[in-house]
Amino acid sequence: MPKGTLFKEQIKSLIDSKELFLYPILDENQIGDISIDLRVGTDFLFQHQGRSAHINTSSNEVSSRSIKSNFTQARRKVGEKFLLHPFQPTLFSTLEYIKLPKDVYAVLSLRSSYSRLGLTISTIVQPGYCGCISVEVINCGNIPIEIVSGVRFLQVRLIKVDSVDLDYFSNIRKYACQVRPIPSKANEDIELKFLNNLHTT
Amino acid sequence: MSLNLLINQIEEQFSSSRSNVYSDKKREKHFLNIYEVFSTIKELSKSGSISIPELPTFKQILQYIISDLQYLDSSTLNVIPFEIVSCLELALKDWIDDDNLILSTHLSNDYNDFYFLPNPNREYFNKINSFLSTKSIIKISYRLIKISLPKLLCRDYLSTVALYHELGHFIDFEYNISNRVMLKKHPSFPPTPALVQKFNHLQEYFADLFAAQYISDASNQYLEDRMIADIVSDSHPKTSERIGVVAKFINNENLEIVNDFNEVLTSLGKQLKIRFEEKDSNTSNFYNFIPEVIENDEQLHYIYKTGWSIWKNTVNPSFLGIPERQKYQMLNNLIEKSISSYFLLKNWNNITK
Repeated sequence: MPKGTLFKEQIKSLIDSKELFLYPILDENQIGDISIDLRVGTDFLFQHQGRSAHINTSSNEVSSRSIKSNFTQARRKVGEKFLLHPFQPTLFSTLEYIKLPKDVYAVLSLRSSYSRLGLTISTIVQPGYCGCISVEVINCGNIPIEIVSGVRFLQVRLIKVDSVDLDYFSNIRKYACQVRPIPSKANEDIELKFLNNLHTT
Repeated sequence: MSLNLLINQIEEQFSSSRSNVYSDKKREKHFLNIYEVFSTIKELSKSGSISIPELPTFKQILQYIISDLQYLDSSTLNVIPFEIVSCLELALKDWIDDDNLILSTHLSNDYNDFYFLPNPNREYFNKINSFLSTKSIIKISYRLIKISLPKLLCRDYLSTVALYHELGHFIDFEYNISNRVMLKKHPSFPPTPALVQKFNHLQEYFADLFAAQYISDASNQYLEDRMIADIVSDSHPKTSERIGVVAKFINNENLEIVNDFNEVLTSLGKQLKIRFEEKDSNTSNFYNFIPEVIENDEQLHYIYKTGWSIWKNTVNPSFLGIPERQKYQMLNNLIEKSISSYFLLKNWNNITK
């Protein structure tokens, strides 16, 4: 298979050969000519103003407030609605669980019907990733937007790269096999201890 | 005796629960139903229409309502352990097809709180409704099956297998199964402490066998994992003996205790039998870090056994090098996604076909 964006037949061929896993697929038409439509899942994290004046990403001490304490968990059934309030970062998981081939990464974008409402997302998915994809969405407009859980919301382009030596699990992967949205683990970055110690010695 | 304090306490509870969004319509209807009953009783109390001899009965009904409210509070969509409850509801249907039953869970702060609350039972429920009828008060339509589990473990699918056992206790109570077996063997039951202990043990064995029908020995795996000492108590047989009975049952060996239960169950049109479809865990999708694609209810229940097999497997290379805590989280996530996708596809296919 040549490198570059994968098209429909190539995607289907990867699914058939079990190199690409995508589940559950409610409608075969989700697989389009050069992308796959992904749906909004059932679990959400809504950011809220916490007790602390800021979110601390510089420390993971047991005494410091966790990042997740700034998020409220919520669940909806497929078909139920939720609101995206202006400028409230919201995390959700895709309904589909995906496992990418070792040499394919994914680029996510909003379906144009939703980006036209003033919503933005930003996510790239590493080759070999497995799990539901956690997506951060922000409503940049000034009117709340109602969305239905389970709706086709995103489109994902799969891009094959040249290397065959990629191994997603060669590093500890903090987000592997996630099925619910996970708040940022920025404070679990192993380099933080070096950065924090730079000026103390 | 007065109802005032209790009425105010319940009012407070309703006030905080009124914004709950329940996981299904039945729970919502039940909430509104018991609110209507409560409101009527409150009005009767206010107007002095409750006579002194009736007070204890009204108090019992109010206590029934507040207990239901507490369980409903743990049944909102945000907190209910939806996946395991959905599996249990399927198992329940095999035994009782009653749309007026609601399987409800209470999330306890106690790590050891896995239990089924046997009372108030069906008889009590009917008694309450008869009384309400005599007072021209609307009946309570739904009856809750009350099962408690530790809040900490509500997304731990290795541990929530214990809920199949708890559901087994409900079925036992509902049909008086252990009681009937005891009466057959010991017509004078229950006269002695030894027989009471035997009865208690029989109830545990039934719940174990009930669970094993669906999840093979997954419940035993959890039992063994929790065991501190393999000792017999008045309430429970030795863990090793419980494990032995289940092992023989799933191997289809002839067991006197299973025969005894089945003799009683046959008269009810029921039977203890294997209700799972075995899948070789060595070829499980979980080793490739993807959910199982479940095709039927029998495979669905077996997912818990697969989870346990993989958790205990320390030689398969897939999870080697992955921190144990991450393996624990990954397994729970994979089980959850396998179950939720099964139910989603089932519902979706029903709607779109």
